[in-house]
Amino acid sequence: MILNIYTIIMMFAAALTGVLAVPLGIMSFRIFQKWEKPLYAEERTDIENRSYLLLLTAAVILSLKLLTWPFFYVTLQSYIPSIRGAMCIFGVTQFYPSMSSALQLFKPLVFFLIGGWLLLNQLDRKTETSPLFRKKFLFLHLISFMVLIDSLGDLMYFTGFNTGSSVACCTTFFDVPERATAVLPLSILGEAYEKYMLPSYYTMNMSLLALMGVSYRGLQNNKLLPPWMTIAGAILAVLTAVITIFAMFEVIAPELMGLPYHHCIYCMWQYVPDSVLITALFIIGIFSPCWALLLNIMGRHSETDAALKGYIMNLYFFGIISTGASMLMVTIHLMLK
Amino acid sequence: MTNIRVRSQESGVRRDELIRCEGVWKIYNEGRPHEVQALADVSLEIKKGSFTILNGPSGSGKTTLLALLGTMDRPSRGGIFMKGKDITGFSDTALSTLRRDSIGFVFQNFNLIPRLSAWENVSTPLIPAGVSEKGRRDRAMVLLEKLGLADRASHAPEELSGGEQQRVAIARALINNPEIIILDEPTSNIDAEATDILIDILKNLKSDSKTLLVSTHDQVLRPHADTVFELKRGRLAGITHD
Repeated sequence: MILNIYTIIMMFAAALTGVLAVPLGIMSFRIFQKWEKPLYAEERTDIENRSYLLLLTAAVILSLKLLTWPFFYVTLQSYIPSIRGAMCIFGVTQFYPSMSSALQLFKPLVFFLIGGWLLLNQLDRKTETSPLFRKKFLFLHLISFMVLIDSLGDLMYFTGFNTGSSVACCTTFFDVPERATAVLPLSILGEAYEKYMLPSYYTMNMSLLALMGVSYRGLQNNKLLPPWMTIAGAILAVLTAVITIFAMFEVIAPELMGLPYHHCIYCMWQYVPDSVLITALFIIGIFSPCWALLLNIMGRHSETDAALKGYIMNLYFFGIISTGASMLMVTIHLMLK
Repeated sequence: MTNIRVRSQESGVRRDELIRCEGVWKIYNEGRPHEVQALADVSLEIKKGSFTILNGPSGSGKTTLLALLGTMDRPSRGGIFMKGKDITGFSDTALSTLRRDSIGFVFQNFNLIPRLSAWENVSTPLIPAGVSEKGRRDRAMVLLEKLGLADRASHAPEELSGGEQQRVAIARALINNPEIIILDEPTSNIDAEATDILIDILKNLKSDSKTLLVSTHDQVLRPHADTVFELKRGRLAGITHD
C-alpha cells in the first residue's frame, strides 16, 4: 500500500460509504416492502419518520461518492512518483489493469445512478401524496449495492498497491498504430480516418445540442415529451460520448498537448489543466439527456406531470450549456494552436 | 352568523368552506395491544374567517382533533378536506409545507425555545423560507409591536410573564401570515388580565379575516365564537352557532 494523505482520505471515504451502504440497502428494501401493504396512519407516519434518517444517510453516501470520483484520479496522480515506469495516471492504472478498468467504468455508472436518484427524490418531494415513494426506495436499494461494490473495490484497489513493481505507461499503449481508438476508425473510415474525426465530433455534438434544443422548445410550448423523444436524446448522447472519446484520444488530446503523436487523455489532464473542466462539462452534458430519460420513465405520474416537465426542461437546458461549453472550450483551444 | 352557503360551480366545494372533516376516527396503537380510541366518527365544517371553538372536558379528544385539523397527525379513518382537497393521503413533506404556509399553531405550553430571545423565537418559521436575518428581525418586530411586546423583543422566554410568552407564541404563529390560527387551551396558563388581552387579539385577528380554531374547556371565550363544537368521549356531542 502506498500511504499518503490522498490514500487515507480515499480509504476513509470508501470505508465510510461501504459501512453505511449496508444498513441503507437493508432499510430501503424494508421500506419498499412495507409501503406496498395498506398501512395504519401511525405505521405510515413511522415509516415516513424513518425515511428521513435514511434519506440523510443516502445524501451523505451519495455526496461522498460524487466527490470521490474525481478524487480517485487525484489519488492515482499522487502515486506517479512511487511507481516505476509511470509517467501519468494511465501508468498507475496499469498496476492492476483489470481492477482499475472495472472501477473506472463503475464510477460513472454510480455517479449517473446517484444523480438520477437525487432527481427522482426531489421530484417526489414536489408531490402531495409521494407517489414515487416505493419506487425511489427500491432504486435506492439497488444503488446501495452498487455503492457497496464500488467501496469494496476502492478498498481492495488502494490496499493492493506497492512500490516494488514497474509498469508500462501510456506511450506503450496509445502511441502505437494498434491502439483501440485507432483500429476501429481505421477499419471503418480507412487510412485517412483522422481527418474525419473532428467533423464527426462536431456533427455529433451539434446534433445532440440540436435535439436537446428542440426537446426544450417542445416542452416550453407543449406538455410532456413522448417517451421516444427522450429515448432518442439518450441514445444520441451515448453515441456522442463514444465518438467524442475516440476524437479525444485520436485528435483533440494530441492537439491540445501540442504532442501530435501522443494519444493519452490522462496526460492531457496533466498538461492542459482546463481539459479536466472540459471533461467534466462533457460528462454532465452527456448524462443530462440520460437523466431526462430516467425521469421520464420512472417519474411519470398524474401528480408529477407539472414538476416533471420543469425537471426535464432544466436537464436539457443544463445539457445544452454543458455540452456547448465543453465544445466551445475545445474549439478555442484548437483555434489557439 | 349567516348560514347561507354558496356552492362553487367548478369544484362542488362551498366557497366559505375552509376545513371539513368527514367521519374522522383517531385510534392510537391501532392493531396493537392497548388500542385507544381518541375520536370516533367526527364530522364538522369550519368556515373561512370564522372563530370556532372545540369545547369539552379533559380527555374528550379536543387536542387530538386540533392536531388532525392542524395537519400534525393523520386520522385512522375518514377524510379531512382543506379547501375541498382531501389532505388525508398527503405525504409528510406535503403536510409540512401546508402547515408552514397556511397554519399557525399556538401550543398550550407555548413551546418557546428557551435559549432564543422573543424576536428570535417569533422569527424561527422564516428560517426554512430563507429570509435573511435582517428581514426576519424586521418582520418579527412589526408583529411584536402590534402585540405590545416591542420593548421585550430581546428578552428570553424565562424573563417574560405567562401572558407575554403567549403573545410571543401568537406572533410566531402569525409570522408566515397563515390563513388559519389554531390555539390549544389558550386561557389555561394565563391570568384574567392576560385573558382580556388575548380576547382583544383574537377579535383583531378575526377582523383581519383569519380563521380561528380554539380548543378550550373554559367558557370565557365562548361569547366571542361563531361556532362551538362540543366533544364528549371522542364524539361530537353538539354544535352551537352564534
